[in-house]
Amino acid sequence: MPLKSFSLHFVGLSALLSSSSFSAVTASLDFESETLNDFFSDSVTDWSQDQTNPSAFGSEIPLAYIATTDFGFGSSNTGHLGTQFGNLSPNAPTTVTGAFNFAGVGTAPNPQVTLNLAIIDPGSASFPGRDAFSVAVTDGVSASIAQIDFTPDALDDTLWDVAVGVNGAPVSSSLASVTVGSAYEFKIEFGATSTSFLYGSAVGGATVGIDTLGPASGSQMAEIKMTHNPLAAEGTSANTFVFDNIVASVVPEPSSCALLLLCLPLFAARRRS
Amino acid sequence: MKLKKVLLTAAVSTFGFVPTATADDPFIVLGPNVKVVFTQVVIDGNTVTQAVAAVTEVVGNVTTVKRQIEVTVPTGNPASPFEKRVTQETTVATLVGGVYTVETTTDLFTTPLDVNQDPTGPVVETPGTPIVENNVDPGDLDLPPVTTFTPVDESLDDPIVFSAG
Repeated sequence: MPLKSFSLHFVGLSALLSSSSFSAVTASLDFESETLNDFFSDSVTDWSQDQTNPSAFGSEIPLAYIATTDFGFGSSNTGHLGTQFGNLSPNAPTTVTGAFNFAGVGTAPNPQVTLNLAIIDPGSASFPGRDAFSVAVTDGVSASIAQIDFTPDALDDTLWDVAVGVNGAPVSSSLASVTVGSAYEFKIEFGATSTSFLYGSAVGGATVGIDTLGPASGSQMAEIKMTHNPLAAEGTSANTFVFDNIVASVVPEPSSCALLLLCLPLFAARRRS
Repeated sequence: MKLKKVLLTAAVSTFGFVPTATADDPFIVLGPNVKVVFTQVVIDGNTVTQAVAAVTEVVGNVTTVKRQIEVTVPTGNPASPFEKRVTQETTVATLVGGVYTVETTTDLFTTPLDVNQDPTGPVVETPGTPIVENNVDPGDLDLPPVTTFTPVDESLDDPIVFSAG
């Protein structure tokens, strides 16, 4: 078999795998098409907010808005949620929800979600309080499929402890934590027998495991929710949860990989003949 | 008016002050370094939400703190069941000879509101009488707390991630 013929077969198979497993099944949420200082309450496409922004002195004070942040690859529009500009009184959680515009991920097996996250805090003496945040992938109705919680570390004011959970069960603590002002990438991998939570630097490098829990129906994911949970006394915090580059995609299916491995010796044998 | 419009205006004033005040200028500019603090307070037996913003400026030996407080309270009056009260407080502390002279002026602006909290009458201004304290020791200077902070640098750090498991 001429080399050219082998190459065409291999390229054709690769294209088939690519088209079936990757390119057609990715949904993403970023904020590049939004306007700086847009509010999630009414202006950010595909997003909604469950709380009404407070108002004072003739201005609406945003609880979630678009601002620029540099995760390590240049400044860009990012989502901000927290109490930098104002707070709810009495204290209450605020959730913003982004709807995935899936083109196949919702029905594909073994999806995964990656996103950039950071917690920032101006650290003013006027605002010593610290709050909790969470990310939840849901089925679009109410059920949480997978969740990552960030809770202020009890001993170190610069750290937030990470806990994870699946299927709406209470989150379980982990040894992982994030440092204020640092840029992270988090990943949730939904497998047939387990759900893996991983994180690392937003600019790449080693990704380490946070925890591996039981399977969750990632194929049903339809929304992602970011929640600010005020722990500090009202008005005493100015923490902000920053998020961007939310991508849902499909992990190469084992069957596809197996098919490729099975085909390679066949190609090699045909090439020798 | 949304804050986004205010943020643009604030570019000319790092610490929230209006450079050249006019009748239409706000008492405090809600810029990117100013937080409005909302808290529950009890006024006349009613629990209501109070908004506070306070900024400071230091020029030479003079420290100026501007604090604005807004609250809407029930009145029990059927004609105007609510009243918006905006307090604008200016504290100027001048250091001379190792001690401060502190002058505080508090002006009150009230607006009658209907059940939908829309105005039913004009704003009534009640100017306050300046209160002056002389020979205040620096250790006894008790200026109102500000609600400002240094904006966070938009460039995040590259974290060191340790194995969690």
